[in-house]
Amino acid sequence: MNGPTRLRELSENELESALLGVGTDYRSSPRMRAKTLAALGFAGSAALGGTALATEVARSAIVGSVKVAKLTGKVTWLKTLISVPLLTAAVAIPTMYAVRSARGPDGARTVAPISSRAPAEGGAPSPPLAIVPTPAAEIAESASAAPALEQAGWQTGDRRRAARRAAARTVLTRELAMLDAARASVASGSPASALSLLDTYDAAFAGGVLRLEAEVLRVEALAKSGQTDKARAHAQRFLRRHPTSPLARRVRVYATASRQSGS
Amino acid sequence: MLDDYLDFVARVLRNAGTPERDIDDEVQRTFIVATRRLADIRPGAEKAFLAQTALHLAAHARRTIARRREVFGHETAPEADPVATPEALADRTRMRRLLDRILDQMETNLRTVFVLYEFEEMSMAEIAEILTIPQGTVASRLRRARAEFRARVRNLEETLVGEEKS
Repeated sequence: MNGPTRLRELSENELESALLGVGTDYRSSPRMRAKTLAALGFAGSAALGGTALATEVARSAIVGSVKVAKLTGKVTWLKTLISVPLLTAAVAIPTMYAVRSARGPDGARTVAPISSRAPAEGGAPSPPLAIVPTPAAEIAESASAAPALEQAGWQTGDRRRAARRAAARTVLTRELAMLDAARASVASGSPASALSLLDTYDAAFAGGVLRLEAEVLRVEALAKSGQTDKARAHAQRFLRRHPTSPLARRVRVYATASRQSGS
Repeated sequence: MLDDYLDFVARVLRNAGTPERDIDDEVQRTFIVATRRLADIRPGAEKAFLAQTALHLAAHARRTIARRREVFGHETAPEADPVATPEALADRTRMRRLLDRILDQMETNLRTVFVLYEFEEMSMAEIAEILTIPQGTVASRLRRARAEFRARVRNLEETLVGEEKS
């Protein structure tokens, strides 16, 4: 059953079109993206059920080779999405590609970027998708943006705004990369390294977009390094200051008096 | 792929009534909820789940605003300047504010179907699945929502044109 023509196509009224336009054109911001990625990293360790997979993934990332996390037939794209922040530990991630996994001669899965998403043929189920980071060459994209915009005929004010946005995106990418490195340290059993990285984050990005995510990570690292009292104090302070944060639930387990086991 | 889903979640949240200042947190919250409930999501049903979560969170955000208004009161300043001039139409911030106002006046059931059909271009079958209502109900709510939307836009235009002339 086809529905009626969309209003946007139908409308001959300028005001109506403008209103429908702003509704349709709404986009997520780099901030939303960074905060979501940072939050998915936390959820990742919990949802993937412990550190075994996280450790493997983090170790691969640190070694520099990018291996696709083990995927079972039942894994949805959300599960693969969760493993991405762990993969970003050693590389900065300006963009990501969806890839199809394929088995190499030794049975190990390798990845190759695809440029288009071709639909699966016949009745075969589509192979599991994994999202992996590209090499870190493109941080310079913010520097190269200005000449490209000039070519596109942008006005000076637009160029300045766009350059500011590009610079902000670069900072966000670096914030996220640092937190991912800290998270990988926790996942691979080095909470002390994580705490050191978080100290560096606090110094480099005071008032950063991801400062709440950093604070939650600190609570986890403190707990995992045996500093339970400190973890609890930080957790309780977080909950006092940010009771309605989406991250509050994650922190709450550390704020109670008795030690939670099996987390 | 993540960016498409981020845009989708942000848009649904925003058009369903989440205030701009809360959007960052609510987008994050939507994905946190989704990852917490991974086991419940069938492969292929991710988008529907994200939509349901976003709509639920937006409804919560709107109830919170409504409660705040009960306590503190709320005055919507009437539009003073004409809305259909080229300058006004190009002012996206103003258009967004007007769209919010029109959508806020719609009954939630109608608003939700309108948002999913007109802004997300979902089919009526998809909308029926997300809202767990019959397709016939989707069709009738959409009809009413569209009529209401168009009437409110016309009203907005005519009111201001009238004032301009006087």
